Amino acid sequence: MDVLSSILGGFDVVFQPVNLAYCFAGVLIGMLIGVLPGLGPVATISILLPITYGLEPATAIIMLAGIFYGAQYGGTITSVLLRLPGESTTVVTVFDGYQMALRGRAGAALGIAAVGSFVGGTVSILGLSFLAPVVAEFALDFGPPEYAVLTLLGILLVSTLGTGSPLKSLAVAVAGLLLATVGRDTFTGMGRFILGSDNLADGIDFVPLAMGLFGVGEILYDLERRAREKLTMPAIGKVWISRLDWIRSRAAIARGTVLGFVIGILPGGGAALSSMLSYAVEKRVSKTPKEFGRGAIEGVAGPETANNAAATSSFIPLLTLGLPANATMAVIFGALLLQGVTPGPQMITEHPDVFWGVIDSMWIGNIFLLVMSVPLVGLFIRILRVRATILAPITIMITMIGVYTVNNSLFDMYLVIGFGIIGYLMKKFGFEPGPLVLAFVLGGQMETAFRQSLRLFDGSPAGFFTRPISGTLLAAMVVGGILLVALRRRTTVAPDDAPVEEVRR
Amino acid sequence: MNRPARTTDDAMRPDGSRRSETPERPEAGEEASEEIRPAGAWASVVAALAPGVFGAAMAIMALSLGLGRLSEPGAGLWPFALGVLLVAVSVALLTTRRRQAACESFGRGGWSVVLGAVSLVAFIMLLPLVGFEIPTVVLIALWLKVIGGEGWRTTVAVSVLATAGFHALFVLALGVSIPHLIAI
Repeated sequence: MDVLSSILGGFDVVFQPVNLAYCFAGVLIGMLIGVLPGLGPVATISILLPITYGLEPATAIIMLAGIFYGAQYGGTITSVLLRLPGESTTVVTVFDGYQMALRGRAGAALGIAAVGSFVGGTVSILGLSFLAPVVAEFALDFGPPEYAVLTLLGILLVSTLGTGSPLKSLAVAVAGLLLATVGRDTFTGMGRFILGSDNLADGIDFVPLAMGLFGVGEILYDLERRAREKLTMPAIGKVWISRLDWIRSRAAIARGTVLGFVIGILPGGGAALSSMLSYAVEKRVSKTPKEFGRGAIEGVAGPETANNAAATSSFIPLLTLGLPANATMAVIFGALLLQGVTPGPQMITEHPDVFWGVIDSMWIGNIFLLVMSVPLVGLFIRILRVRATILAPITIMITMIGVYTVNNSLFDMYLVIGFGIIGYLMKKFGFEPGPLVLAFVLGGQMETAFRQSLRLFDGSPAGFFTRPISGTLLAAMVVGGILLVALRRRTTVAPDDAPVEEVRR
Repeated sequence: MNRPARTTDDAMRPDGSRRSETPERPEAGEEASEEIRPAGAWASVVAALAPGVFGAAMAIMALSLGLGRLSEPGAGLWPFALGVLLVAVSVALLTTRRRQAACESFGRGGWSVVLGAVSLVAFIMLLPLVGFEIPTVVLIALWLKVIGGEGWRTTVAVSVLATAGFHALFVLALGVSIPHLIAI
């Protein structure tokens, strides 16, 4: 099929008024939660899952995707003005963005971040549009062994490269795979780990799991450290960039786009890593590295571009291989399954409206965001004054009522609280819930793939290595993993040289 | 996020080493009103053992499901293998626990969490009996006044308005079948 005509077909989906409205709602919500302290995009998307039930698949995912990339824009605002990274992806923006703000250049920092984000996002969509069909076509030949290897390595990479301790993340991922085995075994029809409960006979539902671990867990965790805000923020000034700013930043934006796009595709890479990497690169290539940490505009432009490019390109493995590259993609994976759309190589032919509609909606969403973030920054800043003590009970009630509406089930509500408490305790003890949810959504298909493979190989695991595609995949993923670890080692050095203490006075 | 210092560390130091060196830095972001201290050594032992206990329990239950053979895997083989793997990871966590980032202790704020969780359970128990409106007003008021320390005026206004908003959204606009008192 001609890619260009498919892309154009996607715009027919996007320009339906209802989809435009939900796209706008998504990026607006994303921007808001990016600005607000507390809930991040994963938690928000989880909490809003029940709302997506009544929507068309394309509409639902257009909105959820909007929340995800919208939050990248919003998080920048608080990083620059308040030294509070709204999201982990905007952490490095603090280094130079806040310094720029202190020097009365907040407007330029926000302006270049918005422009960079827009460039990174839109170029990345272009890459996504042309690369995704190629990958999907290639993946059509995948059999159970390839799928087993792919999911295994995907989970491993996400666990070891995500934030937090690799061992703890691995433990969490294995626990997620175990939770996915609860319910009826697809091969033997046997009920597994149902503990005599009818409620567990069909397994644990994804919605209460994600809403509990991400939503309620996050809210409970924040209850403990109730904030007393005394936010003082520097004057924003005019959100505009000068010619000189643009000349200084354009190379950084170009590098950030490429870097973000590549890192975003890799499982476990994601937006946070790409922004850190971009900061390190910019500092290295700069003729005046001493300026970094003292308000170098390249240090804002590069990372802000990279995180948006990565957020967009991380849709590639999800939409073409059915492999979520990070926790947010895992929740969107779950949302697609709820809609009866299985993400994977068949998606592009079986559900072209969803596939191309979602991709094309990102153009529109990025335009919305650019328009909103430049003139309306002052408005979003005012939202920061809403106290967390008021937001928490309202959010929790939306969560509780929302989860009930999915199955009209009180049991689901108890599950949400149960997983909420587990999520809270996990955070207290240093476990990230992300790998658990990711492993949980992949668990069922992964087990099926492994068992089918073992039958195929007559019980010999060596088959995974000898089959050409799965063997190559194994090798490629191992090499990619080593590369990422090496990159990460190098980037962790970078913030050391940055005058962190100065930033944190 | 409400915890900028932690987020920054997590992101910069994937192994969490920075956090264990200087676990306390509440000044970044001037938000941390109540300091969360790192927990004692017991916490890292609990953190290491908890996954192992879960893994062991699942592995033992999986045995009774039947493992089958590698060429013909039974219902219990996959969960059994995962359970064993989890126990192995747990042992590795136990041996490396001094190098893992410190866990957080439960400060006075922990009581807010307990109260919050208990109030949610009470909400679910009341829901089928009296509908969602009254429990919602009470729960929001409790969270605002007791947990959040808001004033009475804010408490009353927000809890009543938010509940009315939920009624309008869920019952009137979306027409969901949640038990409710007010018929309109």
